[in-house]
Amino acid sequence: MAELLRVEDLHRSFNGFPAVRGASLSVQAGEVVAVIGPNGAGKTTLFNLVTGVLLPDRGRVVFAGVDVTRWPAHRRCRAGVSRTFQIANVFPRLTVFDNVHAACLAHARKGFELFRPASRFAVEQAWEILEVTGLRGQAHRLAGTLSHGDQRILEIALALASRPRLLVLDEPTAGMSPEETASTLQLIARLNRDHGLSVLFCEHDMEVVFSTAHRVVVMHQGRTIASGPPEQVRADPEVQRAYLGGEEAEGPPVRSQAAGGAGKPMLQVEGLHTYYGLSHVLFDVSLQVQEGEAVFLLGRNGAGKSTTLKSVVGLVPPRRGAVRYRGRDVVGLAPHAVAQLGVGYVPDDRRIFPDLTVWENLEVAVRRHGYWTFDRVFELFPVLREKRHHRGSHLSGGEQKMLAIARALVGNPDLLLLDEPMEGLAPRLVRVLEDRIRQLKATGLTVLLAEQNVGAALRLADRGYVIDDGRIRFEGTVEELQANHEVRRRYLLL
Amino acid sequence: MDAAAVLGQLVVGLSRAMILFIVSAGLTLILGVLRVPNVFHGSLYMLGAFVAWTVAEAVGSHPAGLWLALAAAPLVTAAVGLVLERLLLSRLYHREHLMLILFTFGVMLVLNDVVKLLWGPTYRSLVPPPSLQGAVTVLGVALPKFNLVLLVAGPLVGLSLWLFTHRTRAGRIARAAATDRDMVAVLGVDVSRVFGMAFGLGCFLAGLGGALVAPTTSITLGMDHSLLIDSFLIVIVGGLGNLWGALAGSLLFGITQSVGLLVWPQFAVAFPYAVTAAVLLVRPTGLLRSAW
Amino acid sequence: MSGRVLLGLALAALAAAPAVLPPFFVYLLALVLVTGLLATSLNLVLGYGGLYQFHHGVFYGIGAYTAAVGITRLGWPAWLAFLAGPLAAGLAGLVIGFFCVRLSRLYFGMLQLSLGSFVWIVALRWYPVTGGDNGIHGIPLPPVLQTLPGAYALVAGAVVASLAALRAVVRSPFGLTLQAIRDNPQRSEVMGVDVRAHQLAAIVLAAFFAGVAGVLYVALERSVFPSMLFWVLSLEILVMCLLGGWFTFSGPLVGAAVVVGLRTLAGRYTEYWTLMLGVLLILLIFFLPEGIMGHLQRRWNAYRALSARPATAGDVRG
Repeated sequence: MAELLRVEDLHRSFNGFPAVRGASLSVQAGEVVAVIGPNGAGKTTLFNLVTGVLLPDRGRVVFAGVDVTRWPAHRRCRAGVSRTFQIANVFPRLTVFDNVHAACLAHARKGFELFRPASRFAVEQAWEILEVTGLRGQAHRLAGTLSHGDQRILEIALALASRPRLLVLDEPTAGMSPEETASTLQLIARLNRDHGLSVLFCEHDMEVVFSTAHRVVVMHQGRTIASGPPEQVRADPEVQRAYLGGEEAEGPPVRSQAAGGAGKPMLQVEGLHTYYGLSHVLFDVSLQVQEGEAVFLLGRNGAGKSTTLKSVVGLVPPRRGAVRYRGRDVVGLAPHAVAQLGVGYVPDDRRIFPDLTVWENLEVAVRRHGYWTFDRVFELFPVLREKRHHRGSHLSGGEQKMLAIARALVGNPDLLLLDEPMEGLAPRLVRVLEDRIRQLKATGLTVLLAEQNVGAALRLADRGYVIDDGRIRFEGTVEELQANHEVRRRYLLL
Repeated sequence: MDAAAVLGQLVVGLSRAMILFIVSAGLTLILGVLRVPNVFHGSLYMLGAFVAWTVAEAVGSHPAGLWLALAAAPLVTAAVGLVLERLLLSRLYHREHLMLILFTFGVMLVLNDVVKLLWGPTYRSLVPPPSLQGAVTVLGVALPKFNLVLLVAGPLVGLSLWLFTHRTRAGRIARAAATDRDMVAVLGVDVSRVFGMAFGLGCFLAGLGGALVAPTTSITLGMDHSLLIDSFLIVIVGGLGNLWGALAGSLLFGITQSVGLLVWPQFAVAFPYAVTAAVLLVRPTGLLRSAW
Repeated sequence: MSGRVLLGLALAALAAAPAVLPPFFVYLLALVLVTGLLATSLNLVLGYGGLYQFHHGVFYGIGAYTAAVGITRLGWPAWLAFLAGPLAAGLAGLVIGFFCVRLSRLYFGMLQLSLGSFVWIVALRWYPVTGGDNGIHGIPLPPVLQTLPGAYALVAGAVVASLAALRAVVRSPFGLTLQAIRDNPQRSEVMGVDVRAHQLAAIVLAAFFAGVAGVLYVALERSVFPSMLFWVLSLEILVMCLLGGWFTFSGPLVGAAVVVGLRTLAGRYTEYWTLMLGVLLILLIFFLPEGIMGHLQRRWNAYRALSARPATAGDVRG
């Protein structure tokens, strides 16, 4: 088989942070290759480097024998590399047909044809693509009104318009229901089998990968660490270490007083259905947090952790379902009202105020009096005391995370929602933060911890939930989860 | 062209810049915190001038008349702005930008006609009290007394605004809301109150500018038109939401116009536009940092 | 197919107007046509292109002034002046557009406002050439244009032709690509579309047709005013597009008809017609944000979907 794509030792950093540091893979003509790895492994960056959205610091990308490393995206597109995006990226105000038609016209270089109607060009190609992808029946709907799954399929249709030889799909089944996932996989298989397309895609769900890919490439912390047929990769001890690493407990986990459901319910979420626009993102999510507990909400990237927390706080109001805080219904309350009731929220993207100093950042959040004074917060995070007159934008990533937590604490909440506090932190900082959160818990604060870092979450919490694709997949104690290999393998490892 | 003429022009230019600064500061505050381009800002400026005239006329020739007018006019415009924001504008925040611009344009049309309704089409003049009339001779140049008042008022307003946004909690919260309103809400702050306050303050400044300019020029319908475009250009050139930027832009505007009057009087008015266009061509986001 | 019938009726009505309507209404109709063309040209870049064209009036004014100055100061024959106007406007579109297109959204609009205001102030002050704040009046035109039916014929003919051209552009591959750029510029870029070039081309086209509207105004009124270059007019045209519906082709025309009609007719009975326009605009933003034609089109689509085939879940857009 001819080698269609070869990626050699790619490196790419952002502001000193190495997103990709030594990634290599190859795709033979007619193959379906899957790239898997946890969030932060560098998959999307790798795909951006392959398709030309980003240029690498080091390394080469060779397509069909030609060095395309420095080519811009649209040039690679013309050469036969076509991609879809992780977030549905279609033309919302155009009909499905017009979406694909526009893409076909662009490929046919008819963009500047001014005087003859568009219906004279590239119409058959557009219908062909709609037929292959199964979108023919929806051709006259506005793309913005399609379901999330159908929009992702439309994405693929758009990518097909440029008659690619290699299709690069960034998490094609993310956010899809099981039925939609199945039909998307069938589409990929069809495109490969019947139309000879080579496919490179990245995924989290091992089941998806197993059923569709000829070969699997594993990424971890910016490097490709294994490559081969799916079964072989799954059994690879280095791969297993990469995902299970850090799960050994370091120090005995702290059990809060109320472990075991003896306390009063502080937060009750029942049957939550949340939408982002027309995308149905949360399906019947229910969970409970008792007073004094620490509860984990584990899930990979895009599973719905942040959305759940945002629905609780009121930033993304749910369409159906109930959220009760201390018995009181809070759905429909403005976020500031929810916060004033005693709910503290630390978003995953920090969102500190860059223009204000550390001290001023904290000052904005002072709400009630209680245990957490500025002094106590500075005791918890001494580096913030040192830098209290520094502007937020001058703090490092880790310091900003600490500031975000400190800011939530200063409002003296009764319930603290932490969204991925460990994300993007170096291992040393992760341990520091774990320690701090342990200290928080010791003061009796109730915590709901949404995390991807399984080891840290299991060390900090007593019991919790696993969420995937917007649905709760597991509920139980730490021990129960550690014993449940099926759940861990399906929803947490890859 | 002698030094006296230059100095005289400079003072006039600077005092004009001060008025522009006060009005633009209000506009940039609204743009920075609420992200609303307030097209009726100029109408409030005009309203401020007319209200100042009415109050001064009512009080008569008493010297306190002007000061009362300077106090009343901004309060009236702030109240008008606040009512419009609370009742109508606040319902549109989630809509796209273009809708907000068109809404404020609609309000501008309404306000302008309301002013016409209440005061009629003839122009008015506000005569400053005797103590502030006439000129003061400095270095052999006659400088109008009231212009000197403006030269003091400008920096005073600037300083107060700076103190407010940097040294008070409310001001800092407003700055935080300008960068990330959702985060501020999640920390327990009622963002709509912050918006109301910022909008009211911005409208206050518009009215203050109008009241301050009233004694120096004829008060007419249509005085808002060119002021609004000047103000917007200043705010863009200075950097959206940036108070120092508003100052820089205003100084640029006022001084280039004075230079123009000395160099090419017929086209003096065009100088500021040429300069701002030039700046924007080179640095489209403005001289100083934008809030967003 | 009923669209064609409607179109035919409209064209017939336009042709018959001078014979049937009193002169004032013929004049009004001509004015509506000119303004409608101006608004439709704006909508090419606003509704179809998604650009914040805040000072479209500049091209209108440049077209008109070029013709006026050409005839009165340079002694050009009318046909040359009328040709030069749109060309000058198109050229201005190229220059201004070139600088603006590098910026996004609000900054695009602001730079345009700035450059446009500069043009305005020059026209306002350059008395010997542009007539200063008086403008130019009583522009001599060929005799056939000095009669109302003659002027009307030119206006109606040119507007119909221009609208037809604009409609062809909108339905061409260029038009579809432009809309794709409006919806998602990054995606378009990745598909191989030169976004900047397309937007610039759209601006030049829009400017050209605004210039056509400008010279038609000269044919009708025989005057030009600096207010044609002022930002208030530009915002008014924007309002017309919104009022009529800026995602439809005929929306701006309808909007222009409403505004011009309101101004002329209401202006006879009250001097506070701008108050009415302002209130109308505010009501529109709250209750009818898609504009008149937008709303009607949505109702029409829903009706057709319901009656034509069995409704499938989620198919009918409410």
